[in-house]
Amino acid sequence: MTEYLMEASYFPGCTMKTGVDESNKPMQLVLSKLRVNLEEINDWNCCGSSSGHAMNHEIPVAMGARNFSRIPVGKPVVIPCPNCYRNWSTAKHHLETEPETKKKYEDALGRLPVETPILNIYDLYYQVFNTAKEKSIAFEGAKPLAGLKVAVYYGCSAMYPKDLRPNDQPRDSVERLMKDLGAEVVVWPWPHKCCSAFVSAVYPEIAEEFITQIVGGAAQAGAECLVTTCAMCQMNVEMRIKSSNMANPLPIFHLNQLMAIYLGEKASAHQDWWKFHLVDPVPLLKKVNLWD
Amino acid sequence: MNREVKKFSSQEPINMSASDLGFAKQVGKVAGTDLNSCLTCMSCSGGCPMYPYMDYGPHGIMRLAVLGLKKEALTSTTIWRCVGCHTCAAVCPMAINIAGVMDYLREECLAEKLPVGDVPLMQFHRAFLTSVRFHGRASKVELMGLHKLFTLGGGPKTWMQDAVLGVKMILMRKLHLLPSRVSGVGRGQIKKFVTGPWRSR
Repeated sequence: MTEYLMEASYFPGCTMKTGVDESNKPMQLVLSKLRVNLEEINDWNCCGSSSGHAMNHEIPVAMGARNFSRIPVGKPVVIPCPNCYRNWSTAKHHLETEPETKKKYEDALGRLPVETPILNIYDLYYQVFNTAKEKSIAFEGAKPLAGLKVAVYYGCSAMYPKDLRPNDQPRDSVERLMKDLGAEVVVWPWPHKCCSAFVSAVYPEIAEEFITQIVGGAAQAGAECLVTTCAMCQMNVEMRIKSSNMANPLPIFHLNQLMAIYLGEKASAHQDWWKFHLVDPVPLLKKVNLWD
Repeated sequence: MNREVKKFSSQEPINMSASDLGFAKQVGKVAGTDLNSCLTCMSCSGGCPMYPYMDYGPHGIMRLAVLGLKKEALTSTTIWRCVGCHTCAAVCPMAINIAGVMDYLREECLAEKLPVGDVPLMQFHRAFLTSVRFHGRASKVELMGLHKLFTLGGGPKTWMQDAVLGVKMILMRKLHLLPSRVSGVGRGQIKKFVTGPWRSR
């Protein structure tokens, strides 16, 4: 029997649940290799997303409260989507600091274990790798991503208002993680530039302008690919590279995919991840000898 | 969409006759932030990715709110074109939750039944929340369908926008056609939470 290093509740979020298999599958593999056991929250609901707080400030708190009412006590919650994470943080902040709000939702939903820690997936990876480094534990069968020149793209996922700002994580945790994986991290101008989120669906021309700037900037800084933690950013970048007919587009990876390759998964054995990409990353993987 | 000329570059004097000086306090209370600490340093507008497409920009909205020019702030395109990326809040030297202010102003605009600065974007939010009301979770495919339905007046250009790419993504199963749903009891609870004046717009 496997002994788990960490037991956690898992909140997939709507994006990971109904699409993005190319990020979901490697994530499950990576977590089992890191000996983290995730249990999906029973009957979870949407976090409210961007539209929730855009239309009514109570929606993210109410949706978060219902999610809190579903989680088992004593296990942290792991959230793969940065936007869900921010909405969960908003709900947690309000429920922790406003007793009357908490009372209101406890009356409607039952107990709310709001003190439960919530973890962003890349914070979890960063912590695991940091612990491994401190204790000089090597990962079995690890394959460094040598020669892969990567631009780390956070989008807005590292931006928080003052009350929600996490104070225990460095601002460049993904860059540090990519260096630990052996990749070459380029310095470039747009790691935090917005991908245009929902505006992309309404005004594609604005999204095309943003994405051309982002991907062009990464290429100019010498990157061969981008890596992101957010499935929404990944989809927006790929879609708008396509619709703007950009010349020489860079492929954009999910962080989970590069983690899986580092931890010994053969890229060639996972055609089902790469077939979902609108910009084919396979030639690049072959070029840097990470294909098999 | 075209870039907007900023309204505050006009030579007209500011008309303060309809000013509501309690407005800044009211906004600050709900958004959990103190608007009067704003320095008007424009850091927020400097960081805002949507600034070229806004009529005032975030710093302009902060100024309008502090001056109590409620109607100008609530009918601006700025509050609707804000994507909520929180870059403004992250760069603000006075740590004002500017994106939170935008959220509250949109809500107030709908509650007071004022004209919406950017209808297609408002309809996107409405389509999203309608989908969440149905299932308890969002379905991207349904959301795009509803948005097309809510913006039928936009003409053939909006009907066809991204249709080919969307169908391609459904066919390659990058987007699942069927939504994932919350249980019946949960959907009942969520219907009570996800509501507001946006439903009748």
